[in-house]
Amino acid sequence: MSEIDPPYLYPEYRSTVTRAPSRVLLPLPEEVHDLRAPAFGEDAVVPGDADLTAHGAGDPLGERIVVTGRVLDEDGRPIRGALLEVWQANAAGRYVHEGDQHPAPLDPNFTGAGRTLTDDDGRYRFVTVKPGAYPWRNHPNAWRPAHIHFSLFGRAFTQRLVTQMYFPGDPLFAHDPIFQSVRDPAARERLVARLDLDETTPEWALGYTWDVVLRRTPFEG
Amino acid sequence: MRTPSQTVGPFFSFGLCVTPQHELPGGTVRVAGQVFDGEEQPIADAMVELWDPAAGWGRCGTDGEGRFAFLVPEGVRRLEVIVFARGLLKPGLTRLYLEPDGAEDETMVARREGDGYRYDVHLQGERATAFFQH
Repeated sequence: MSEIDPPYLYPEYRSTVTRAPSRVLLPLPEEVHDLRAPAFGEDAVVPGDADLTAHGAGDPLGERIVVTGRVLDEDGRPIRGALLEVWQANAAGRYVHEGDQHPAPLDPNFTGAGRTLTDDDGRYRFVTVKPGAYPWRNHPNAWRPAHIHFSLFGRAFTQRLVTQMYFPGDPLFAHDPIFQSVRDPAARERLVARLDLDETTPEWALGYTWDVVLRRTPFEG
Repeated sequence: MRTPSQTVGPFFSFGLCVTPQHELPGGTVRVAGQVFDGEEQPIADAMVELWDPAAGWGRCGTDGEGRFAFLVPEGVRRLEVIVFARGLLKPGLTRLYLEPDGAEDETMVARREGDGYRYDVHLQGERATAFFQH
Protein backbone atom coordinates (compact mmCIF):
# COMPACT_ATOMS: atom_id res chain seq x y z
CA MET A 1 0.00 0.00 0.00
CA SER A 2 2.64 2.48 1.08
CA GLU A 3 4.51 2.08 -2.22
CA ILE A 4 1.52 3.41 -4.14
CA ASP A 5 0.82 6.51 -2.08
CA PRO A 6 3.59 9.02 -1.45
CA PRO A 7 5.23 9.05 1.99
CA TYR A 8 4.14 11.78 4.39
CA LEU A 9 7.69 13.07 4.64
CA TYR A 10 9.28 13.86 1.28
CA PRO A 11 11.74 16.69 1.97
CA GLU A 12 12.08 17.59 -1.72
CA TYR A 13 8.52 18.89 -1.28
CA ARG A 14 9.42 21.39 1.39
CA SER A 15 6.01 21.79 3.04
CA THR A 16 6.12 18.15 4.17
CA VAL A 17 9.00 18.91 6.56
CA THR A 18 6.81 20.75 9.08
CA ARG A 19 3.55 19.04 8.18
CA ALA A 20 4.21 15.31 7.84
CA PRO A 21 2.62 13.59 10.86
CA SER A 22 5.51 12.90 13.20
CA ARG A 23 4.11 10.25 15.53
CA VAL A 24 4.17 6.55 14.84
CA LEU A 25 0.94 5.72 13.02
CA LEU A 26 -1.62 3.60 14.85
CA PRO A 27 -3.34 0.65 13.16
CA LEU A 28 -6.59 1.68 11.48
CA PRO A 29 -9.48 0.39 13.62
CA GLU A 30 -11.26 -2.56 11.97
CA GLU A 31 -14.69 -0.96 11.92
CA VAL A 32 -13.41 2.00 9.90
CA HIS A 33 -13.09 -0.28 6.87
CA ASP A 34 -16.86 -0.81 6.82
CA LEU A 35 -17.75 2.85 7.14
CA ARG A 36 -19.81 4.00 4.20
CA ALA A 37 -19.28 7.22 2.31
CA PRO A 38 -22.02 9.82 2.40
CA ALA A 39 -24.68 9.31 -0.28
CA PHE A 40 -24.47 12.27 -2.59
CA GLY A 41 -27.80 12.44 -4.33
CA GLU A 42 -28.31 13.90 -7.77
CA ASP A 43 -29.34 17.15 -6.13
CA ALA A 44 -25.73 17.62 -4.98
CA VAL A 45 -24.76 18.57 -8.51
CA VAL A 46 -26.38 21.12 -10.78
CA PRO A 47 -26.48 20.41 -14.51
CA GLY A 48 -23.70 22.45 -16.07
CA ASP A 49 -21.36 22.00 -13.10
CA ALA A 50 -19.26 19.65 -15.25
CA ASP A 51 -18.71 22.20 -18.02
CA LEU A 52 -16.07 24.59 -16.66
CA THR A 53 -16.10 26.55 -19.92
CA ALA A 54 -19.74 27.55 -19.40
CA HIS A 55 -19.49 29.29 -16.02
CA GLY A 56 -18.75 32.79 -17.34
CA ALA A 57 -20.48 35.22 -19.64
CA GLY A 58 -18.27 34.14 -22.55
CA ASP A 59 -15.79 31.46 -23.53
CA PRO A 60 -12.60 31.23 -21.46
CA LEU A 61 -9.26 31.61 -23.19
CA GLY A 62 -7.10 28.55 -23.73
CA GLU A 63 -7.21 25.13 -25.25
CA ARG A 64 -10.67 23.59 -24.76
CA ILE A 65 -10.45 19.94 -23.66
CA VAL A 66 -12.66 17.07 -22.60
CA VAL A 67 -11.51 15.06 -19.57
CA THR A 68 -13.36 11.81 -19.14
CA GLY A 69 -12.93 8.35 -17.65
CA ARG A 70 -14.28 5.85 -15.17
CA VAL A 71 -14.09 5.54 -11.42
CA LEU A 72 -13.42 1.92 -10.48
CA ASP A 73 -12.41 0.00 -7.40
CA GLU A 74 -9.36 -2.28 -7.26
CA ASP A 75 -11.53 -5.21 -8.34
CA GLY A 76 -12.47 -3.33 -11.49
CA ARG A 77 -16.02 -2.65 -10.37
CA PRO A 78 -17.45 0.68 -11.49
CA ILE A 79 -18.39 3.10 -8.72
CA ARG A 80 -21.76 4.66 -9.45
CA GLY A 81 -22.89 8.00 -8.12
CA ALA A 82 -19.37 8.92 -6.97
CA LEU A 83 -18.96 12.65 -6.39
CA LEU A 84 -16.00 14.17 -8.24
CA GLU A 85 -14.92 17.71 -7.53
CA VAL A 86 -12.22 19.36 -9.62
CA TRP A 87 -10.32 22.62 -9.41
CA GLN A 88 -7.52 23.99 -11.55
CA ALA A 89 -5.55 26.99 -12.78
CA ASN A 90 -6.64 28.76 -15.94
CA ALA A 91 -4.82 28.48 -19.26
CA ALA A 92 -2.30 31.08 -18.11
CA GLY A 93 -1.42 29.09 -14.99
CA ARG A 94 -3.34 31.29 -12.52
CA TYR A 95 -5.87 30.21 -9.88
CA VAL A 96 -8.77 32.45 -8.90
CA HIS A 97 -7.67 31.88 -5.29
CA GLU A 98 -6.63 35.13 -3.57
CA GLY A 99 -3.45 33.50 -2.31
CA ASP A 100 -2.16 32.93 -5.84
CA GLN A 101 0.37 35.69 -6.51
CA HIS A 102 1.61 34.44 -9.89
CA PRO A 103 1.65 37.50 -12.19
CA ALA A 104 -0.37 35.82 -14.94
CA PRO A 105 -3.80 37.11 -15.94
CA LEU A 106 -7.05 35.96 -14.41
CA ASP A 107 -9.73 35.07 -16.94
CA PRO A 108 -13.12 36.71 -16.25
CA ASN A 109 -14.76 33.76 -18.01
CA PHE A 110 -13.04 31.02 -16.04
CA THR A 111 -13.26 30.03 -12.39
CA GLY A 112 -11.81 26.56 -12.73
CA ALA A 113 -14.06 24.60 -10.36
CA GLY A 114 -16.46 21.82 -11.35
CA ARG A 115 -18.41 18.87 -9.95
CA THR A 116 -20.10 15.81 -11.30
CA LEU A 117 -21.45 12.39 -10.33
CA THR A 118 -20.42 9.17 -12.07
CA ASP A 119 -23.08 7.35 -14.08
CA ASP A 120 -24.09 3.67 -13.76
CA ASP A 121 -20.92 2.67 -15.59
CA GLY A 122 -18.74 4.73 -13.23
CA ARG A 123 -18.14 7.25 -16.00
CA TYR A 124 -17.57 10.99 -15.63
CA ARG A 125 -16.95 13.75 -18.16
CA PHE A 126 -15.72 17.33 -17.75
CA VAL A 127 -15.30 20.05 -20.34
CA THR A 128 -12.63 22.58 -19.42
CA VAL A 129 -9.50 24.31 -20.71
CA LYS A 130 -6.02 22.90 -20.36
CA PRO A 131 -4.44 24.51 -17.27
CA GLY A 132 -1.08 26.24 -17.62
CA ALA A 133 2.10 25.39 -15.77
CA TYR A 134 2.93 27.83 -12.97
CA PRO A 135 5.80 28.71 -10.65
CA TRP A 136 5.81 27.97 -6.94
CA ARG A 137 8.28 28.67 -4.19
CA ASN A 138 9.32 25.19 -3.23
CA HIS A 139 12.87 25.69 -4.52
CA PRO A 140 14.56 28.16 -6.89
CA ASN A 141 12.92 28.14 -10.32
CA ALA A 142 10.29 25.60 -9.30
CA TRP A 143 7.38 25.03 -11.72
CA ARG A 144 4.40 22.72 -11.41
CA PRO A 145 3.48 20.64 -14.45
CA ALA A 146 -0.04 21.32 -15.72
CA HIS A 147 -2.55 19.46 -13.56
CA ILE A 148 -6.19 19.27 -12.52
CA HIS A 149 -6.98 18.60 -8.84
CA PHE A 150 -9.52 15.84 -8.23
CA SER A 151 -11.44 15.03 -5.05
CA LEU A 152 -13.41 11.77 -5.06
CA PHE A 153 -15.81 10.00 -2.77
CA GLY A 154 -16.22 6.30 -3.45
CA ARG A 155 -18.66 4.10 -1.56
CA ALA A 156 -16.54 3.64 1.54
CA PHE A 157 -14.58 5.90 3.87
CA THR A 158 -11.38 4.10 2.85
CA GLN A 159 -12.01 5.03 -0.79
CA ARG A 160 -11.81 8.76 -0.18
CA LEU A 161 -9.16 10.19 -2.52
CA VAL A 162 -7.72 13.61 -3.27
CA THR A 163 -5.21 13.58 -6.09
CA GLN A 164 -4.00 15.38 -9.21
CA MET A 165 -4.33 14.49 -12.89
CA TYR A 166 -1.45 15.33 -15.21
CA PHE A 167 -1.11 15.53 -18.99
CA PRO A 168 0.99 13.06 -20.99
CA GLY A 169 4.60 13.80 -21.79
CA ASP A 170 4.96 16.89 -19.64
CA PRO A 171 8.68 17.85 -19.56
CA LEU A 172 8.21 19.20 -16.01
CA PHE A 173 7.52 15.73 -14.53
CA ALA A 174 11.21 15.12 -13.83
CA HIS A 175 11.47 18.39 -11.92
CA ASP A 176 8.28 18.24 -9.84
CA PRO A 177 8.67 16.86 -6.31
CA ILE A 178 4.91 16.47 -5.84
CA PHE A 179 4.63 14.20 -8.88
CA GLN A 180 7.90 12.46 -7.95
CA SER A 181 6.74 11.90 -4.37
CA VAL A 182 4.98 8.82 -5.74
CA ARG A 183 8.05 6.64 -5.81
CA ASP A 184 6.75 3.71 -7.86
CA PRO A 185 6.96 4.65 -11.57
CA ALA A 186 3.96 2.46 -12.41
CA ALA A 187 1.90 4.16 -9.70
CA ARG A 188 3.05 7.55 -10.95
CA GLU A 189 1.82 6.63 -14.44
CA ARG A 190 -1.63 6.26 -12.89
CA LEU A 191 -1.68 10.04 -12.40
CA VAL A 192 -1.23 10.76 -16.11
CA ALA A 193 -4.18 10.98 -18.50
CA ARG A 194 -3.82 9.79 -22.08
CA LEU A 195 -4.70 11.67 -25.19
CA ASP A 196 -7.76 9.90 -26.59
CA LEU A 197 -8.87 10.57 -30.15
CA ASP A 198 -12.10 8.64 -29.48
CA GLU A 199 -13.03 11.26 -26.91
CA THR A 200 -11.81 14.10 -29.11
CA THR A 201 -14.56 16.08 -30.81
CA PRO A 202 -13.40 17.04 -34.31
CA GLU A 203 -13.13 20.77 -34.89
CA TRP A 204 -13.95 21.42 -31.22
CA ALA A 205 -11.86 19.90 -28.40
CA LEU A 206 -9.11 17.37 -27.69
CA GLY A 207 -10.11 14.51 -25.43
CA TYR A 208 -8.17 13.05 -22.52
CA THR A 209 -9.09 9.84 -20.75
CA TRP A 210 -8.19 9.26 -17.12
CA ASP A 211 -9.55 6.36 -15.06
CA VAL A 212 -9.37 6.58 -11.29
CA VAL A 213 -8.96 3.41 -9.27
CA LEU A 214 -10.00 3.52 -5.61
CA ARG A 215 -9.30 0.94 -2.91
CA ARG A 216 -11.28 -2.29 -2.76
CA THR A 217 -14.96 -1.85 -1.87
CA PRO A 218 -15.12 -3.43 1.58
CA PHE A 219 -18.78 -4.48 1.48
CA GLU A 220 -21.42 -5.83 -0.90
CA GLY A 221 -24.60 -4.13 -2.00
CA MET B 1 -3.19 -0.70 -9.35
CA ARG B 2 -5.05 2.04 -7.54
CA THR B 3 -4.53 5.75 -8.14
CA PRO B 4 -2.05 7.40 -5.73
CA SER B 5 -2.85 10.29 -3.46
CA GLN B 6 -1.54 13.81 -4.09
CA THR B 7 -1.69 16.87 -1.87
CA VAL B 8 -4.80 19.02 -1.88
CA GLY B 9 -2.44 22.00 -2.36
CA PRO B 10 -2.99 25.55 -1.15
CA PHE B 11 -5.77 26.67 -3.51
CA PHE B 12 -8.62 24.18 -2.96
CA SER B 13 -11.13 26.44 -1.25
CA PHE B 14 -12.80 27.71 -4.43
CA GLY B 15 -13.31 24.10 -5.47
CA LEU B 16 -14.16 22.34 -2.23
CA CYS B 17 -15.41 24.93 0.26
CA VAL B 18 -17.78 27.14 -1.73
CA THR B 19 -20.95 26.18 0.11
CA PRO B 20 -20.91 25.81 3.91
CA GLN B 21 -20.75 22.13 4.82
CA HIS B 22 -19.69 22.38 8.45
CA GLU B 23 -23.10 21.50 9.84
CA LEU B 24 -23.84 17.80 10.12
CA PRO B 25 -27.54 16.93 9.76
CA GLY B 26 -29.27 18.01 12.96
CA GLY B 27 -26.05 19.53 14.27
CA THR B 28 -26.35 21.72 17.38
CA VAL B 29 -23.16 21.06 19.35
CA ARG B 30 -20.21 23.24 18.37
CA VAL B 31 -16.83 21.54 17.93
CA ALA B 32 -14.10 24.03 17.05
CA GLY B 33 -10.35 23.97 16.87
CA GLN B 34 -7.22 24.79 14.97
CA VAL B 35 -4.74 22.87 12.83
CA PHE B 36 -1.04 23.46 13.61
CA ASP B 37 2.22 22.53 11.91
CA GLY B 38 5.49 21.39 13.50
CA GLU B 39 6.47 24.96 14.33
CA GLU B 40 3.19 25.47 16.19
CA GLN B 41 2.04 27.78 13.42
CA PRO B 42 -1.64 27.61 12.47
CA ILE B 43 -2.26 26.11 9.03
CA ALA B 44 -4.44 28.36 6.89
CA ASP B 45 -4.69 25.91 4.00
CA ALA B 46 -6.06 22.81 5.70
CA MET B 47 -9.44 21.14 5.42
CA VAL B 48 -11.07 18.89 8.00
CA GLU B 49 -13.79 16.33 7.25
CA LEU B 50 -15.90 14.56 9.86
CA TRP B 51 -17.58 11.24 9.11
CA ASP B 52 -19.96 9.07 11.06
CA PRO B 53 -22.22 6.20 9.95
CA ALA B 54 -25.17 7.70 11.82
CA ALA B 55 -24.43 11.41 12.10
CA GLY B 56 -23.37 11.90 8.48
CA TRP B 57 -20.61 13.97 6.97
CA GLY B 58 -19.30 17.51 7.07
CA ARG B 59 -16.26 19.49 6.11
CA CYS B 60 -14.64 22.82 6.86
CA GLY B 61 -11.63 24.61 5.42
CA THR B 62 -9.43 26.45 7.93
CA ASP B 63 -9.31 30.24 8.03
CA GLY B 64 -6.25 32.50 8.28
CA GLU B 65 -5.69 31.40 11.89
CA GLY B 66 -6.04 27.73 11.11
CA ARG B 67 -9.49 27.62 12.67
CA PHE B 68 -12.36 25.32 11.79
CA ALA B 69 -15.74 24.75 13.42
CA PHE B 70 -18.49 22.15 13.08
CA LEU B 71 -21.97 21.66 14.41
CA VAL B 72 -22.52 18.01 15.28
CA PRO B 73 -25.70 16.35 16.54
CA GLU B 74 -26.19 15.97 20.26
CA GLY B 75 -25.34 12.53 21.59
CA VAL B 76 -22.55 11.78 19.14
CA ARG B 77 -19.68 10.11 20.99
CA ARG B 78 -17.13 9.71 18.25
CA LEU B 79 -16.44 10.85 14.69
CA GLU B 80 -13.88 9.85 12.09
CA VAL B 81 -11.61 12.73 11.07
CA ILE B 82 -9.75 13.30 7.80
CA VAL B 83 -7.25 16.16 7.62
CA PHE B 84 -6.10 17.53 4.27
CA ALA B 85 -3.55 20.31 3.78
CA ARG B 86 -0.85 21.66 1.57
CA GLY B 87 2.17 19.62 2.53
CA LEU B 88 0.14 16.50 3.30
CA LEU B 89 0.79 14.18 0.37
CA LYS B 90 -1.94 11.95 1.73
CA PRO B 91 -4.57 12.88 4.28
CA GLY B 92 -4.22 12.32 8.00
CA LEU B 93 -6.83 9.96 9.47
CA THR B 94 -7.68 10.27 13.12
CA ARG B 95 -10.71 10.36 15.43
CA LEU B 96 -12.60 12.87 17.48
CA TYR B 97 -13.97 11.66 20.80
CA LEU B 98 -16.45 13.85 22.65
CA GLU B 99 -16.17 11.45 25.61
CA PRO B 100 -12.80 9.91 26.49
CA ASP B 101 -14.09 6.33 26.82
CA GLY B 102 -12.52 4.06 24.25
CA ALA B 103 -10.22 6.65 22.72
CA GLU B 104 -7.13 5.13 21.07
CA ASP B 105 -5.10 8.15 22.13
CA GLU B 106 -5.65 11.16 24.38
CA THR B 107 -4.98 13.56 21.49
CA MET B 108 -8.25 12.37 19.95
CA VAL B 109 -10.32 13.56 22.90
CA ALA B 110 -12.02 16.95 22.62
CA ARG B 111 -12.29 19.05 25.74
CA ARG B 112 -15.24 21.03 26.96
CA GLU B 113 -15.15 24.72 26.13
CA GLY B 114 -18.15 26.92 26.84
CA ASP B 115 -21.25 25.28 25.41
CA GLY B 116 -19.23 23.19 23.00
CA TYR B 117 -15.93 21.42 22.52
CA ARG B 118 -12.37 22.30 21.58
CA TYR B 119 -10.44 19.91 19.34
CA ASP B 120 -7.03 20.87 17.94
CA VAL B 121 -4.95 18.98 15.41
CA HIS B 122 -1.15 19.13 15.74
CA LEU B 123 0.63 17.49 12.83
CA GLN B 124 3.94 17.42 14.72
CA GLY B 125 5.53 18.47 18.01
CA GLU B 126 5.03 17.66 21.68
CA ARG B 127 1.27 17.65 21.35
CA ALA B 128 1.28 15.81 18.01
CA THR B 129 -2.01 14.17 17.13
CA ALA B 130 -2.04 10.40 16.73
CA PHE B 131 -2.98 9.38 13.19
CA PHE B 132 -3.92 6.02 11.75
CA GLN B 133 -2.08 4.03 9.13
CA HIS B 134 -3.86 3.80 5.80
